Amino acid sequence: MFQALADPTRRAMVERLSRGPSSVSELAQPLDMTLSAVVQHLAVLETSGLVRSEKVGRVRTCRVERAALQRAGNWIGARRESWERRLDRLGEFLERHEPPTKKRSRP
Amino acid sequence: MSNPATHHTTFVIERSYAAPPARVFAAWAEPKAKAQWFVGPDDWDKSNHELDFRVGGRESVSGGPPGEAVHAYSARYHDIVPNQRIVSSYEMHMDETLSSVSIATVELQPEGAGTRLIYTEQAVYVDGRDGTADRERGTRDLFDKLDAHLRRAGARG
Repeated sequence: MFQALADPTRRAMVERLSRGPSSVSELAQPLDMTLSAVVQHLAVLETSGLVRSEKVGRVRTCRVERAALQRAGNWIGARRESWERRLDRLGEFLERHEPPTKKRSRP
Repeated sequence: MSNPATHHTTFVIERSYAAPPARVFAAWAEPKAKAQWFVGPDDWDKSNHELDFRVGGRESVSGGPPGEAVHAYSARYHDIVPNQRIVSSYEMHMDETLSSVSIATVELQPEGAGTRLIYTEQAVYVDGRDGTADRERGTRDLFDKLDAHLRRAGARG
């Protein structure tokens, strides 16, 4: 999946699709490349499970696979999440070990 | 096809604690205190946490969920300003394979009677031959985009 997202064009495509389904030609429009190159990128995204497409009549509509995208987000954020849990545990630790409230005179 | 890949990322986490900076700092500096919160409840082996908290000193801990790769954390302390700043670098290994190298900066600022903690990590994720690093790597812009997307999608962020 991350191999699929390593490419900036494919990231742009996923970002576009995260805003809503799109036809292949709509997807290709802002990209400076041939339609066949776009179709190749799309194939990589489909293989990774991030994107699904279906052909209705002559139009192929692509949509992002939200569950897969969420997994990607989870993986990318794994390190961050583990630190967030740690720092929350630090907060709990500090509360547990609250010293008795004795006011010290300050200089 | 499986060329070695590197990915760089930076993230910042901020927290406010009711405790003053000296107490927050002590929770990082004292091995017994740190072991109580730094090491996860389930997936790390608390018994092998080692901390030598001084410039040039090291810290290590390893563990992982049963049946999965052993995650090993290994750090070195570079800069310590009591009650204010801790700079360390750390490696993560999955089993024997290097997964990432990070610079971790902890900054403590007084906030009323409490403390504002700012944790900044700059990491390079390296592609393990077994692909394990794939799971964790990501570029900052990708993370930001996905994060924004997931927030829009109403997922936990």
